[in-house]
This record gives sequence, structure tokens and C-alpha cells, in this order.
Amino acid sequence: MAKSFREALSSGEFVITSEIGPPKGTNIENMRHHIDILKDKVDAINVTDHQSSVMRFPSIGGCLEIKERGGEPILQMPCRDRNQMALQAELLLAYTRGIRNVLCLTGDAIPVGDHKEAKGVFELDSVQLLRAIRQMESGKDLGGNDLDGAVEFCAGAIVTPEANPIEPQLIKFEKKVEAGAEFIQTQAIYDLDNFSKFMEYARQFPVKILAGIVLLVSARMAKYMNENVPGIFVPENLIDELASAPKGEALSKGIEIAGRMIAALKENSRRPHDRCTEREFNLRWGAYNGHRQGRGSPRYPGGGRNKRPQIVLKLSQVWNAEYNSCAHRGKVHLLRERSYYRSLRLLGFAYSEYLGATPGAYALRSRLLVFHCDRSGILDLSCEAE
Amino acid sequence: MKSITRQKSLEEIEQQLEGLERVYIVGCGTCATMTKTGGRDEVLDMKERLQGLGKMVTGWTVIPTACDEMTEASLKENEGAIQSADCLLVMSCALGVQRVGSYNHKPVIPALDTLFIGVEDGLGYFHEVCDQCGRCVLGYTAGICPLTACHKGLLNGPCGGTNNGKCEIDKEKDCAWTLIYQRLKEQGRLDLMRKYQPIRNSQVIPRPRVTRIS
Repeated sequence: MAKSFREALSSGEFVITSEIGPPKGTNIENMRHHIDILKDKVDAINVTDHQSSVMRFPSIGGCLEIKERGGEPILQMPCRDRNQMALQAELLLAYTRGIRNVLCLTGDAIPVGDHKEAKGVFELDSVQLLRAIRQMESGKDLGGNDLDGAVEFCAGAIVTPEANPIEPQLIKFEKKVEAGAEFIQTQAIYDLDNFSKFMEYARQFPVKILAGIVLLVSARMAKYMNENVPGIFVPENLIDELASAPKGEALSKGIEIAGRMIAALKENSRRPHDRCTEREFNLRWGAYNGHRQGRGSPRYPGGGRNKRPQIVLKLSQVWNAEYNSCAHRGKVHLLRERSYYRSLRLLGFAYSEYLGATPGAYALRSRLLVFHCDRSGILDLSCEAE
Repeated sequence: MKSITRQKSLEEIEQQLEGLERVYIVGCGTCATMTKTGGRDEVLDMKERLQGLGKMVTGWTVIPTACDEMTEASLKENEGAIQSADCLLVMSCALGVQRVGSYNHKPVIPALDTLFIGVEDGLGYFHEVCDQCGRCVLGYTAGICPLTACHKGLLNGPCGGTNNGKCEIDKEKDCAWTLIYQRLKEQGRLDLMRKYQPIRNSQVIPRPRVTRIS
């Protein structure tokens, strides 16, 4: 990669990241393949760490592969599995091997995963982990001892703009920013009106927001997520749009929707930053939070920041459609509802590549996305001009 | 304080009693009576079930509070029946089991699993309230303990798994941080939620935990 993720974040350019999920086992050929497809097309690649509490090859292993193959990794670090000693040790290892980006997460609950009797550690939470990183950067470990060689990371965290109630999430968002988060990745978003309200609030803080895009592949998947995935809300009009697609065309419709959203986000990110007064800030926040101001509303961070905020885009968590036949082109079947937790996170780059050339919302049709799948059920994809 | 217990399966009790034919049963008149796991009725029921397994029950008693020092006197009163038994099957929480064991050289066998320290909300509904962590944060969290009421024991606010005030592991369970938020908001003390809570001390008293009152 020509530039680091931190440089990309501060470049003012539209930033695109992606996400890969390591395998359950030692066969990492598919993961390597995904890395090779993605590494030159995105600014950084997240590697999940036992996502949904399903034991897998670790994030740090995937990040090392990305480094070796010339990409820019984001180490996902949940607090679920490691105490403070193990977390720090992994940060030391990551730093010495050139990994410079860390996403600090609480981690999913153990009972939702595949080792239901395992011990959940959660000694630290995401805010504490961010602070721990900043402390280690100052040359001290969490025990207050000197480090022989400090670390330096571009550290980030996550937020869920659709959570209900939203205010507790926003309070935690602000704690993360105060703890030194430089970037925030969002849960998948579908309601752009709500997201732009969130951005009016979030833009006041010195942090970059990466909007999470998860590809919708069917109306059924959208409904399933609305009912079962916390913090995800797919508006009714998008579900109708997917449902109205001709048989076998839902995926194409989903791609069109994702492309439209990305184009809109990109347009939104270009809006110049208007420094606001404290009163305006409170009004905006109130409009987002939907209730009157009082004690407990967020602190006004000041209007004098020179950095031009931007929306940066995180292309992630693309639904892993599983296939009921192999060598089956352009047709996807969702076999299991649980497949949300087995997502592939690969498709996104094609739209971004495409949209990078053409910001218009509907121009997506002018390119053809070609899908392939192989016997392992893994999707390969290429983007070709029509 | 209530020790919330659950009876082990008869199968597991039978496994523990392997080679021990003569059994003396001890129940508890406090928590285990309230939770209907080791009171008089349950002790008599256990007596029948053990007899059904071909065991000889030499006697039984329900100690008022099995975990306190009166247990010694209670066991002395029943010395004869206890002496003729191969073991004591204790139908109390683990505190009572260990107390009985400390006054007696016979094997003590637990008939219950101790689940948590809790309180009763509605009839027969108990919930955990304290993890005995040694560093109480209730003053910052509107009297709701995030270590026990939150599945992940988070100190600085909710995780992203919460939805409509419920927990990601079970839609029936309340999200502790939503409750804390609502109560702090009612009290006009939401600023407390913005306060950074540092990493908790896991070694307030290193295990085994002991303390001496001076």
C-alpha cells in the first residue's frame, strides 16, 4: 500500500476499507485469495477475531498475512477472550510486525457462539482498551511499568447509529472519542436519513466515521436482520424494492441499493464542514436524539477544529450467500438464516471501485458485476465494464 | 442475602454416592427452604428417592441455617444416626456443605448446585444482584450492578448487542445499561454515565479471600 490507513484517514479523500473473516481451521488458502483480491483496492482490511464468538483462525494471523502480501491490516481486538496481560502482549507483537491499526471492541457474548460453555473474559471494555493503547504509546504498560520500546497505533472503535435507545450508545461513543479513538466504524446502516442526522451530530467530534455497508441479498434477509440483529434497521421501502425484484434478481437489486447508498454517502461526505455554535450543536443533537436537551446531553466539543471531517466508507460484512450448487453463475441462494454470522465480506470493493469512477447514483447499471462461486461455497467476483 | 440453589439430578447424586450405602440427609431451613431445594419437604422427598435407589437412610435433619456455627450443635444432637451413616448428603448451598464438612469427618456430598447470590423479585423469580467483586460501583450506576446485571460486566456503558432495552444473549433479559441509563436520567444524573470507569481491580483480596475484623 502506498499510504498507511492513518494517512488515508487524514488525506481528505474518500476512504474505503473492507473486512475478511479468517477460516475455522488451518486451511488459509481462501483467506489469502481474498486478501490478494482486496489489498490493492481498499485503504485497509479489517480482520475479524472469532466473530460472533465462533472460534476461528485469529485476527492477528490474518493481519500478518495481509502485511506479508503488501496490504494494510486493521487488527480487530475484542475484549472477550483476553485479560489485560494477553491484550497488551498481542499489541506488542502486532506493533513489531508492522500492524499499525487496531479496532477496539467489547466482543460478542459467548452464548451466541459455538463454544457455549467457554469463559468470557471481558476484563476490559472497548473504552478501557482504547485508553490502554494510549498508555502503552506513552511507554508504560497497564501495571505502570516501563516498556522497552513503546507502541503506536491508529486506534478506532465502533458505534451503532440505529440503536434504540440511542443516547446510551452516543454517551459511549463520546467516551471512545475522549479515550483517543481516531476512527469509528458503524454497524450496517440502511436508513440514510437517520445516518445523515447521526453524521450531523458525529461530525462535531474529532473522529472519522466509516459507514458500514452490508449487501442485502433478499427481502427475507432484510427482514431477518430487522428482527434478529441488534442495531440494524432496513427501511420498509428497501425491503419492498428487494421483494419486487424478478426471481433470481434480488442480489442484483441488493447491489444496486448498496451502490446507491455508497454514492449518496460519498456525496454527503463532500459537504463542507460548517463549524457550528454550541447552540446549533445542541439543536442538532436534540434533533437526532429526539428529545429535549437537559443534563446529560453531549458536551459541545468546540467549533474551532480545522480538520475537514469526512465520511469514510467501510465496506464490510457482505452477506455470505451460501450456494446450493457449485459453478453457478450470478445466482445466489441463502440456505441458512444463521449465515449472517458466516459472512464473507468480500463483495464491497467492486462497487467502490466502480463508484470511485462514477459517483452518480444510478450509473451502477453501466457496469456488470460477475459472480462466481466454487465448491467451497466461496464467492469470487470481478467487475467488468459493460 | 440469598444463596440460590438448584437440585442436582438424581443420576449425579447417585454417581457421587457410589460405594456409600448408608446416608444421613441434612437440609437447610433458610435459603434452600425458600428456593424449595433443601427444605423439609425436599429432604423427605430425597429420602424416598434414595430408598428407591436401594440406599439406607439412617436419619435426617433440617438445620435452621446450615452455614452458621449452630450447625455444630445440630449435628451433635443427631450424632447417633450420623455415626451409623457412611456419608452426609447435604441439601444446602455450598456454604452449608462446607460448614457441615468442617464439623464432621464423614464424606459430605452436595445434593444442590449453588448458582448465585440473589434476591426474589416475584414469587419464585430470583435474580443475581452481587458478584462480590470488592469494589462497589453502585454509587455511579444508579444502584444497578453492571458487573452482575450486564452479561459482559461492562463498566463504561452498553455494548452494541443491546436492542430495545434487551440483552443480546436473551430477549427476555433486560439490558443493564439501558436500565442504568433510564434511572440516571430520571435522577438527572446522566453525567455519571459519562464518567470514565477504570479497569477494575481483580485482586482486591487475592483468592482465597479472607478478612479479619479488628
